[in-house]
Amino acid sequence: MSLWSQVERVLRSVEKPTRYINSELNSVHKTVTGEGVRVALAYPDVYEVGLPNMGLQILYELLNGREDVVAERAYAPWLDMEAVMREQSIPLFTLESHSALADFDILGFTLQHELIYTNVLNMLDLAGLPVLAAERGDEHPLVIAGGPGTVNPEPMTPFIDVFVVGEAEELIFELVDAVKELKRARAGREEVLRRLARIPGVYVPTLYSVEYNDDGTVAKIEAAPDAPSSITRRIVKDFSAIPVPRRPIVPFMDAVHDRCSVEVMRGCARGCRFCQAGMIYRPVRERTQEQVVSGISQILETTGYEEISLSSLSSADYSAVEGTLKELSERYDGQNVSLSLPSLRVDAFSIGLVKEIAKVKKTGLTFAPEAGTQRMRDFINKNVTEEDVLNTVTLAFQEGWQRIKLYFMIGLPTETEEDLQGIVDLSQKVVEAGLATLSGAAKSRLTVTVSASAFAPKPHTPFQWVAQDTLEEFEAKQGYLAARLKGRHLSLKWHNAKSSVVEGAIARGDRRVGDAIYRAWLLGCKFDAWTKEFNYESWRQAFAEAGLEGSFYAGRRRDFDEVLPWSHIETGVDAEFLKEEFHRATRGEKTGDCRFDGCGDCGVCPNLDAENIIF
Amino acid sequence: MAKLLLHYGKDGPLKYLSHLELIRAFERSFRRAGVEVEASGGFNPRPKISYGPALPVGTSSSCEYLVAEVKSSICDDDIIERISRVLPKGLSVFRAKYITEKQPSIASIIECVAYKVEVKTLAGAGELSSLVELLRNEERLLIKHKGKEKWVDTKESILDWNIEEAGGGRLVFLLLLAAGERNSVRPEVLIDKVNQSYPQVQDIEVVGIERVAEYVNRDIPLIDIYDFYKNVTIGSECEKS
Repeated sequence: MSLWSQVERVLRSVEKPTRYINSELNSVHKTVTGEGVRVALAYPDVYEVGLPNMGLQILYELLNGREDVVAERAYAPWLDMEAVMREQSIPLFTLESHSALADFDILGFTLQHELIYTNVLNMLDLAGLPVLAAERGDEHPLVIAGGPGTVNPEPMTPFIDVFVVGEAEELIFELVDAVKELKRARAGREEVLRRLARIPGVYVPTLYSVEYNDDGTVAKIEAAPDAPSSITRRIVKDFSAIPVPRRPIVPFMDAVHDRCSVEVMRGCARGCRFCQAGMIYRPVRERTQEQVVSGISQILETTGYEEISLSSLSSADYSAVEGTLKELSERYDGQNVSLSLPSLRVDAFSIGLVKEIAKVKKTGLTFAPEAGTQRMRDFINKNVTEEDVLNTVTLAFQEGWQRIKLYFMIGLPTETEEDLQGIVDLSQKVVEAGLATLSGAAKSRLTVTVSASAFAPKPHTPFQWVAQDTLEEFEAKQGYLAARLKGRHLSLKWHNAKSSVVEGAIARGDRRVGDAIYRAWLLGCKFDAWTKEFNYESWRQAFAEAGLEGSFYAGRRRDFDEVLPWSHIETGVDAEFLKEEFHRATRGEKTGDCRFDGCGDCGVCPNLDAENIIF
Repeated sequence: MAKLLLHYGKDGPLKYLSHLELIRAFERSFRRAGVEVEASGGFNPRPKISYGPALPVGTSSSCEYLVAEVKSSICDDDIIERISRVLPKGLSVFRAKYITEKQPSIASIIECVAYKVEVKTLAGAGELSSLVELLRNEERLLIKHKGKEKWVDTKESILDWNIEEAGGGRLVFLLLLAAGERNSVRPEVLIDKVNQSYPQVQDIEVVGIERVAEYVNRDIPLIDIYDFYKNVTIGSECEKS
């Protein structure tokens, strides 16, 4: 039943009503018969943040491609809308048919990062569903979750029935078929969960029990007799065999990304030791240039987009990047279509690429040295030297760019004052390179923005055992940088260290952290990724009420033989490899990129029966 | 280059698009339709499309206009079909014609606008009519909008009005309101005024507002904006065999 008339009555009283309407181009408005499966795809943040999410767009197109399935979308209503919805008892709805979420067979969330977890709880509640999975029954939708958060699903286990670990293209139809069959057979909830747990890559947390040691660490994680002892991430082995989604939804309102974005490859083999994405999305699988270019041409036809972006974890590493950009810029020359490359390497090659695509507009360039000293860059395996940085920015200045942004992290393991001073020195050298290269008005417009984010160690990385800095340490380090990164051409930006500390505690949390998330939500936490909405005091209180110490999860150095709460989730990368990488880091040894420097023996290819596919 | 005048409408959920969102939707639709629009110069080239006065968010309309500077002319019927095919549901094109180049912009020549305002109320049409008549007899009206206040000349701003029964306890106000620089008012104004000035009438709830016509003058006979623009005859490619 459509809730549109109720929704419409309140739209005049809220900000940005476009968030709650439908009919965007390429959105699918259809119905299925009673036998069919209805899926609501939910992004736990506001519309303009959630809409561009590539994963949900892929699922949406795949699912709606089937006659017996309908997929609709839901986003977190902004605070003003939530208030009127609660006041007028309007349940959370999907956009396409404005149906209540409770009317769907499957409700799927994407867990993109830890600071949107409370929004999942809030959306379940707004939908009129019990927030706790244990309180939901046969009459409720099956609540599933996917996305990078599933590599440590434990903190969300109290709220989610089924986690889907890995790339959705690979297993979504198996899941939907099973749900369809079970629906026809009128199977009860428990049977549904047992049956789904047989699908490789599916994790049903109620089939696993966790025991703890006296010191609070995990003693063992035990699977029920008919559930697999570990869950291995599913991947698309040949990414080039998957067609480029042709009909992305075009938002009416200004979304965080609003452009034609085509994934040129999955995975990254650079091996930065802090980077979770670089570890959990292996191996590297490329699409062909022909596929990328024809995909873009189709998307431009169905969307009318005026900007093209080649997306991946490191698009400058895509082996056909040069040819692809050249072909695109020739094809769309004179049509007011702009090209962009979201991630640049610190090298001349990247400057050559952006020079090609930014013929007129030279807005700004962003580079990520990540750390200030060579020692630390070697430690994290970011294979960039100071010389690389200075040569690259000098080249950029020579080509006419005047605004450079540098990304660094503070709180990396083994960090000393010297490493912090290194951030200051390198930033100042970049300013000096700018002053030496630019002249006249360009010189006075020179701006170097330094962004220093507070590092949170993540599961399934070589740094999963290390202690995160405490809030006090982070704030002292921020103060150190703020006192020294001064000057007419320099500006310093950082994220709130408080939210990094909360993020760090949840990221490496176990099942009990779910209780803290639940209490945080009860205390009113939501939209935690929004600086203005984030409430550190409530989070502290929530952890305390749950009888937990955030620092136990974030600030504790773990033993290598400790059972990690996520040890039953296999990304394909061996824990032994991660340990070895940590040891190599402490010895100052670099690890090469397996695409060029030989196999690093991370285990992903044999474990997932896959390999790097480079064209 | 040719100047294309499009008469379009905005309806359904899309009436909640802001003016900027509408502009982007049209720019992308022109691209999808393969109708090339001239771009402005500079570092940030923009398609040369000009629009009439912004429609308030939440108001539907059957009388919106835009002028696009297109690179090549395609005959009227074809262009309507090409654009209609790619427009999101809720936007529709009714008429199109090419106009001579040197003519004033749409926004600058609109003098009055006709609205239909549908309301839910317990009061009858007759009772409301007499209240509106009382209001109209006041020489000036104080208009409050977004924290600002202004006085308008009543008869110069509310040019004509009527109330019709729409069934189901609903009434429709037909309003002809001044637009442009002088004495312009928003369509909710009469209902707001009645609500404020006559508390004895149970609250009138606005159900929907639709813009139904735009004119370039304020006197009878009213001249519709589409008729005001002088067409040009486009060459042979528009001749149907």
